[in-house]
Amino acid sequence: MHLLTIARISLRQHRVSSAVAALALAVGVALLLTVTALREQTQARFTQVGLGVDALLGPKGSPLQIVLNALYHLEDMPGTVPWPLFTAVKQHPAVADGFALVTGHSYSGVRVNAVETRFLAKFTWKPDTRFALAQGRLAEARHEAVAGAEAAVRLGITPGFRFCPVCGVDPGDPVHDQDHITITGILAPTGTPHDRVIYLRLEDFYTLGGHGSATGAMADDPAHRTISGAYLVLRRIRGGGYHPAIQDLQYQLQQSPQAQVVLPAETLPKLLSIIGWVDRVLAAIALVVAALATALLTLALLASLRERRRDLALLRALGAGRRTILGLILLQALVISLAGLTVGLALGQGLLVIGCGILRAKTGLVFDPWTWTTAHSLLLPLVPLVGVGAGLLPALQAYRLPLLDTLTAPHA
Amino acid sequence: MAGPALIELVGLVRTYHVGGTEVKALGGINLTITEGEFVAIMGSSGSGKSTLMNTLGCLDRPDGGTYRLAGTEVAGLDRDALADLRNHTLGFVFQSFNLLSRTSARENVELPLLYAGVGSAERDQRARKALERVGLADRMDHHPNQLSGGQQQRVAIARALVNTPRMILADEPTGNLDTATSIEIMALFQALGREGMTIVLVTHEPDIAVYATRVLTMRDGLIVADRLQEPQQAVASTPPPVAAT
Repeated sequence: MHLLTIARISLRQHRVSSAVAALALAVGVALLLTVTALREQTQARFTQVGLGVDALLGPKGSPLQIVLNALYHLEDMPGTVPWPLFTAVKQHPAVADGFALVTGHSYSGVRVNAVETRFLAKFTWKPDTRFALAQGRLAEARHEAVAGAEAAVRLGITPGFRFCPVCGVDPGDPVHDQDHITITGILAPTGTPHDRVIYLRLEDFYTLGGHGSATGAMADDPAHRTISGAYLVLRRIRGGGYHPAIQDLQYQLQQSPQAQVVLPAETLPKLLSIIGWVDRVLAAIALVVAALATALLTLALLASLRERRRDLALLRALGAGRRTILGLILLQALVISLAGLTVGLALGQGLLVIGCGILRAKTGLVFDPWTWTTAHSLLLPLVPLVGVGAGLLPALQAYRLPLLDTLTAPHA
Repeated sequence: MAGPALIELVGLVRTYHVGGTEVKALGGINLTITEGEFVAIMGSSGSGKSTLMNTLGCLDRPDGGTYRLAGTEVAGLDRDALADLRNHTLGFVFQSFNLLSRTSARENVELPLLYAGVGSAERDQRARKALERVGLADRMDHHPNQLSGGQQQRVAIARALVNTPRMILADEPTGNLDTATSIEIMALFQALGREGMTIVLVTHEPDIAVYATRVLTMRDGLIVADRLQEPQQAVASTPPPVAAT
């Protein structure tokens, strides 16, 4: 208790240098937290295998582009897939179910995808979990659509909202100004990219004006339809693995000029290996920041000790034992590091909230700023330890202060 | 020298090594100071007076000889025991006051009591009493920057007194003060001396040494003169502090 009182007096005495030390640590903690959270979430977002989709049926082209378009609503689909091929794939022994989709439309920067209506009713985006409605009802008639939770928030829309979709995903693309789509329901949040889309009924896509007569004919005759691709749910063997016949299906389609089956579980790691250098840079930055924060704390404590040399000498002259001085410095280091940790966590959280907002706006990727990260697990116990560790050097210096010289030296 | 011996030095030696050269700061000091004495140690710069003072204050260790403080052989004590001895037996007053700047006069005075493990209520009571004793009853919550030099030195004296030490060691206590304020401080020391407090002060000013009852003169690490004198009475221009225990 007495030590706490002395520490309180000493910290107050040197509040500026103490605040500088705490701030140095806070900046380190905040940067470490931000970098780690973004790094971990980047990995998590792109390794969240399939988002309930085991495989994707897509046109020939880059498998990565198909995954990014169908699952993450980025990029464009490199071509189309004939409907009969889709129905054939659905019949394959390796495939349990399939949901056709057409991408390539948007509204105010939000993708408008056409899907089979049963996708929203039957698809399980995570084990045993189907989409749920937060408001309204599913689309049942022509020119009706349902919005994902995040899309609704972003556009500020509720059931009853009407809009004309853009034929394309770029701002200058033409608008289907004769087709007024009504939002009938808003989906409950899933925390996945599924939230960022407006879902149009597949059959409505073919009736949109301006697509030409060939597309219009597809509305009447499904056999002539083309789709962007399909979400496939694969049969599983005991133990949870994919049915081995998937390899046969992949091989068959590999020989076909029309389509391919892409397994996100195989493709996404390739993406990560492409962006792996970013990951490695982030990891290196995190390490440098951690080392820098520790060095800053030690330097700040050393600087603040230099400032309080006379006080420490005085305290010893007044009867403070060496253990008291040692305890005093370590306690102050602990208090400074806890203050730095608290401020750093708050600062880091603030940076994350802002950073995730910017990322979402710029890339459409949903990052959760409130996720518990490895940085949290490490920083909470380690920062006080590092603080006390960093306080050891100044504490030992204080231990060996020449009392006479320090007390009789002129004030700096 | 009526009282019992508080300080007994026999053949005290302190040597420093400066750049390979041996400098004998104390060359074998024999000295006895009894309780209640008011001793001034004089000498020019480099005479060894500060080294002697620091050794007396257990802030420095001698290389040779013996030092008994209040009957305890100091050489045999470790650093923590020395700190304890300083805390309970000695009170220090420095030339530059050495007060904590963002801390009130009362809290500054409480500091030695914190190390002695005294509870908060008693600390407060004893600090108030010590400040009243040096005439600062109305300045207890002032910070050092709100006090004059003389008042700051009085706070330092109150801090030295608060643990009821047996001896006050003052190192050039008037070195940073003007003449009138210096006399005020000496009047305070004389008042404490009359109460039986042992006071040892280092000064290089003869007009300060005249207020002591005994003057030691040092040269080249040795005491070259030791004389008793009838002290001049310090008359403060401001009302004298309350000299009550």
